[in-house]
Amino acid sequence: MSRKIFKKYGYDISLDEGVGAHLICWVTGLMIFFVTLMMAVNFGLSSITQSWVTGLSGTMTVEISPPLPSAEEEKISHKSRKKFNNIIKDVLTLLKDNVAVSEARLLSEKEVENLIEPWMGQSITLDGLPLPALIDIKLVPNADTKALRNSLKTLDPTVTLDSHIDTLDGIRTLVNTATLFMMLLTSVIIALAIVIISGIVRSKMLIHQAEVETLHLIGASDEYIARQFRRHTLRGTLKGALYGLVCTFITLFIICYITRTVGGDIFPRPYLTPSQWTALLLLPITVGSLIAHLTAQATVLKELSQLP
Amino acid sequence: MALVKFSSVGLRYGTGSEVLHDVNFELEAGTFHFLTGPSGAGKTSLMKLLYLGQKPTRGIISMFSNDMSTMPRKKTPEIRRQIGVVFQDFRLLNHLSAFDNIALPLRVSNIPEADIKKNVTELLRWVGLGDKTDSRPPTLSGGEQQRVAIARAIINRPKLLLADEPTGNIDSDIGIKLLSLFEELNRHGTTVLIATHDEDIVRHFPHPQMRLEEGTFLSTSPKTRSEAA
Repeated sequence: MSRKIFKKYGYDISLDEGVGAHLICWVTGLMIFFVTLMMAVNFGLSSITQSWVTGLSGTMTVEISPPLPSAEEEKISHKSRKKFNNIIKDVLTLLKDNVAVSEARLLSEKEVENLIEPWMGQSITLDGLPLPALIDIKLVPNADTKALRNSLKTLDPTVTLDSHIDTLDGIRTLVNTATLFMMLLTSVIIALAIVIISGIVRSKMLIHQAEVETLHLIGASDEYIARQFRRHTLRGTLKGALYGLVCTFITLFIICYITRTVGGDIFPRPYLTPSQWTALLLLPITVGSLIAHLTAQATVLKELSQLP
Repeated sequence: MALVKFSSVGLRYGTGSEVLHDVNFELEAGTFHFLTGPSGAGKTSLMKLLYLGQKPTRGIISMFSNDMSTMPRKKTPEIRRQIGVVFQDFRLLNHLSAFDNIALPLRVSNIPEADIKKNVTELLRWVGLGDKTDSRPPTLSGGEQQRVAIARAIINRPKLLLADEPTGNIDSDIGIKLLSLFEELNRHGTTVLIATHDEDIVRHFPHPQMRLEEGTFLSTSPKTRSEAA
């Protein structure tokens, strides 16, 4: 029985002994940790972008600038306030009559304050600050926003229509840049892992040179010898991947905890879909194992080809 | 028909001078030869060429009717499996048991595990190590290690058995017993070539000698067993 197990899982070469026997485990563990973490951050960023894009697309915001007190006045005059209120009424009427708009809602002062508060902080009082009037509008599909913008401008030049395109473009550019950077970093990590694994396998071949030569001389094929290194590397990789994944999920838990307590009002909460969680669990292990497996195979075969 | 044929074979290591030059000989199937010569004559180098542990720098080596210079590298393991080698330093794998060391040539040939168990157990008993199945080489005596090395060399029933100084580390009585074991294998059809500088052993067994001196043969082609008799 024990011999059967040896034959199935053991090695003819004492790969589990000697210097650096578990180096592959740590190297691949680190690789998997960084790659999984970057994937998770990438997925998280995508979900934030998605929630912003979904929340903002098909909507627009009409902003009516508040009247400002003149240099001689401390407060806004009653006349200016009345004019401001009239503009709001006129804009709402225009919006309700416009075919491009399906829904228009004036945000209350409290809602406007809530929007500003995360940026200003709770300690600053907003009383007396000239706040703009904001009207959230929902558009019908394929709405003519240009005509709507012109109508609003004609009504009053202080009325502006924010289509959020600039904001969305900015977010997209930021997220795309971050994604590209992470992909680049992942490529560097993979390339480094290949070089390191290859180096470790080569070192192990040197350490166990006498055993490798003996196997070679008694008629072991290159494939037979390579299989032993491959199996050892794969076992180390899977073990390392497991450690790496555990560390990643602990780190993600900490990041989630921190983002919930800091800046939770500014940023939407990142959300990962079940398929993204599955990808996080399986993709780094699969790709990592494949890379380690192929690197070990190629390195051993290359080294063995130098034997007669 | 010649099992092994060397034609104008030369060998040099790196840029040094030739350690073997113009080596020509044939080994007929079923013969028993001694390879003799003083230290540094090139016996070990010649053995390396024979067990395909080294490529010649010139000349042609033919093994079992295959020209080794044109043989694809992928096929050389098949040839090596037909050669049993008892290395001077035994080359046993210390982390494996005596059983697993002997089983190695069968495992690399993908022999079923049931057959391996049967054959190895039988051979361990034959070489007198039936009770040392699970012992690792470092726990065995020099003589026992040598018997494990011999068992590993013959487990595959090789066509050619090579032994490099097999009596080097043992006393002459055990040496003679060992040579008797090789003779028995030879009687079963294995071609045997033993590299030695032990003149007593050579005198004790009436087999033809191939004498190497300064990297080449002084004597003529070795004789076959029938000629020697």
